Amino acid sequence: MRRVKMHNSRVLAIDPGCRGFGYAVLEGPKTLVDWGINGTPEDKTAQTCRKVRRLIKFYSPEILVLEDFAGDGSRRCLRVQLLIGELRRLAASSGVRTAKFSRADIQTAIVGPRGTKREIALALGHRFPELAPYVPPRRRPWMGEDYRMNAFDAVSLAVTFNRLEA
Amino acid sequence: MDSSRLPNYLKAHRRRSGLSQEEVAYLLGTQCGSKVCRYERFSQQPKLETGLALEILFRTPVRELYAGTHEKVENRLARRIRALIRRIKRDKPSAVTQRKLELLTAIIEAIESHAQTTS
Repeated sequence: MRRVKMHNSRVLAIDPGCRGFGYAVLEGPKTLVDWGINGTPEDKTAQTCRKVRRLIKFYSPEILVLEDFAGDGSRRCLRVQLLIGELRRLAASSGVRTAKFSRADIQTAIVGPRGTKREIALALGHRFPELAPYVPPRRRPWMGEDYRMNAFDAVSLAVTFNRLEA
Repeated sequence: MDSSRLPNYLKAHRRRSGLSQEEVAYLLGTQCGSKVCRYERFSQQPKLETGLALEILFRTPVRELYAGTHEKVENRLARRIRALIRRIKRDKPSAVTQRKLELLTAIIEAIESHAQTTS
């Protein structure tokens, strides 16, 4: 039977951070299939690649969405930049297309230019009620970034892909 | 990569509801959350009674909870219906065979229109 394809492709978004990586699987504009944080305490690059390979095998996504670390508003350390490159190669070897978006693209797609990460997280919590209880508290100057923010960043990448490309 | 639907969307529905695997397991009457984990990891299929309990729990029809499985069953059934139609057409025409053909053709049309709306 021939199926007419519409814009509900499955998207896997990965956002590496200092403790591990956040991931989100979005199917179409409304179905958040899975999301979370995966810790990689040691040998971060190898562990992240192994875990992402497992996610690709399990969810068979059409697109892997990553951050464009060279784009506007993105500040990523060398380790994460190299890791993102590794993930792109991993996706290519698994037959998955990749897409990349800068922080500015994400801000524009979700809350408008110059939106903060917390505003993005609140907007995502509003859009996906299952995320609302996990929106991190307001960050104070003496606080580090909440570990849950990686998951929100991954969801924001997937939503941005859906808004700008799908 | 394969872009068809996942075998089931239990994890998405469970997380939307805010329930843990242990809580869902308790509601389904099983000992621990590992069984729910196996359902979510597509490594085990629930019994009919459990499937119906999941439908009530998540207020979503089983065909949507198990969208990929439903799609697979539907495609397999459509293939067999087409084969049966060809076989019936070879038989001597009668009122009964005509009725069977009408029924089977209507099912095929329903499956095809459902496939177009859900994809």
